[in-house]
Amino acid sequence: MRVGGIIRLAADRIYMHKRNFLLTVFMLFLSFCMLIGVLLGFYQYNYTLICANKVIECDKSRLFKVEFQYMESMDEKNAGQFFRFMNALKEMEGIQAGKYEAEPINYQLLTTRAEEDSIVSELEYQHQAANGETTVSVTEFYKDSKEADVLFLDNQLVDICRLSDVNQMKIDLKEDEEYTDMAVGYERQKELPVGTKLYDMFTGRKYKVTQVLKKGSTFLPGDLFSSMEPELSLDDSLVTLPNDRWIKGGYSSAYQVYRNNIYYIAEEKEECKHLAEQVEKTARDFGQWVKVKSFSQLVEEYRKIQQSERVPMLVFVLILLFLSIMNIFLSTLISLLSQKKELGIMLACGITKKEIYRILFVENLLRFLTAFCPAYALMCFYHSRGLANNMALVVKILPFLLVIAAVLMLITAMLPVLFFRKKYPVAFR
Amino acid sequence: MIRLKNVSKIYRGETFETKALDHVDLEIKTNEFVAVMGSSGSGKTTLLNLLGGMDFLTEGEYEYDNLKIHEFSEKQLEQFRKEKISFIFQQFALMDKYTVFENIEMPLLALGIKKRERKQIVEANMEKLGIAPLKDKYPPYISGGQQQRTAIARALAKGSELILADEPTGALDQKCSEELMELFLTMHQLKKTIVMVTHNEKIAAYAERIVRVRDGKVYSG
Repeated sequence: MRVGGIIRLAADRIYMHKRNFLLTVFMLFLSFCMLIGVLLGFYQYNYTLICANKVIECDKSRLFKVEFQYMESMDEKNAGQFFRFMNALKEMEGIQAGKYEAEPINYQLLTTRAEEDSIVSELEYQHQAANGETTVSVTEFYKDSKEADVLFLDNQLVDICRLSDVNQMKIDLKEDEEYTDMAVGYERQKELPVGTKLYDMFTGRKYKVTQVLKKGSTFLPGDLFSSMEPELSLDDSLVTLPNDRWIKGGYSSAYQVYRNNIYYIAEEKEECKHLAEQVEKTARDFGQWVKVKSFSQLVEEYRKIQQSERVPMLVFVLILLFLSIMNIFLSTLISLLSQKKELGIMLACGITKKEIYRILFVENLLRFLTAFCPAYALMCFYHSRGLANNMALVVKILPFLLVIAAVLMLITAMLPVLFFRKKYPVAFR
Repeated sequence: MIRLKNVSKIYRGETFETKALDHVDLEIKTNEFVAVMGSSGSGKTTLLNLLGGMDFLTEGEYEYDNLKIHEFSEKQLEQFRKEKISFIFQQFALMDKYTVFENIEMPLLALGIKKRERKQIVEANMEKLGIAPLKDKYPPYISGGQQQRTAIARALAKGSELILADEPTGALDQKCSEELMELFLTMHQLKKTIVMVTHNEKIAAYAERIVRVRDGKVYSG
């Protein structure tokens, strides 16, 4: 039988059993969407772990961080005490508690220049506890490098586009608004060279790329443990440079940093030891558990959490795969059993078993393509908005997806066929 | 020329063994019209299945034009069936979700014949059997006689030398049966070898020779 005949018979059979076809396609489509989503999340964690290695290298164990864990689980009393403690620190900066207006924040970029000497300013203040009896003395050290490149990393760049595109979109630009300086990561300098003007459609702000970050620049996220996508590598990023502009609302990750963590940076290990004891005692007095850890320790813990999350994810993906295989395998088998007469007539008409296998294979191939292509296209569309870099990930997982889909297809198409492989044609009459 | 020599067919299950054919010897000449008669369970359908390569012999030899069919592999049997054999079944064995045209076209698709040629062959056979107006109709919506004509057209379209018919008039009334047998005679005139299974004496009388089967044995013919 010619190839055209096989394809035609496969298409005819699909049309004849269209309800079954549409049902299995729909279930496959859902399975693929979930699979792609899970694989992307899986891959993103891998991506993050790779970045974490870079941070450790840059750190040189000189950066220490205080981690307040499970802030959300505090009871009302502790929460109140904790916020008063936080407020005391905020008062030093002149920011009032409860007012979430953004302030200019000196945010430290962790680059290879971390090894250089920088200016350390020391702040010391006292906080009167609620019961008036306990006095807390906390020493804070800020590492204030005048050569810091980054004010904050704006993660909300999904709606940014080139200014030239905006002009064509007839958006009313605020002419009096100045451009905010922006630096581009090393890997993106070709795509967004110095001089490129950008427009954030969400905030209405204009940006201009004025410099390129050094290769290998990394960013220390404020809350390592609760951030879903800690963009530790800046090579693929856009960052806003220090400026007088105020960022309204809670869009800035730096604001999140300030709320959830307190930054302590020490030059010497002895300094840090003294600082750690002080901070831990202070927090204990307020009923809050605190442990001062080195950044390397934190990243290691983060990695372990990431890995421990990967295992359930992997189990989930495997269960999903198994269910998908069983679903399609059983529906194909049942479909074949119900079409015994039809297959028998085909055999009697001279169509060989091999040709029938090919027809079933083509049928299944069409089924998988009909489900896979829209699922992948949907994910591409979802991840392709603005200048977000997730499309690279979507493309990266395509080979895995194709292999998984091909294996699934072969198993589900050909295994049921084995059912009548050893049967003589007379069994179908 | 078809030759069966000492042919037996035994169906074996876990707890049973049934001898459907028991040391059968039979010869059918080329272009002969033979009727195989017997009661239910006598082995006539089994005989037909073996002749058509739909099943394997347990014992004996089957030669078709000096080809040793009993030595064929499954693949060779498929090829043999594809090229040499056409079937006509009692319940017509048409595919309900294909049109009359598509049903007749099916064996030609299997042979890899091109579209234009297929169309010519199918239309010619439909004209011959008087079912041309039913081209786009589906089997459930045509009469039994028309369905059987479609089945015959399918058998003829393939151009096979050997036509095996299993109770072709079983589902038809007397008038349709007689009309059908006239068609069989026409097919016979087209130099086809026909082996027809029936339990009806009147229908069997249309054949040149009657072979009687009882309890797996051939008694006459």
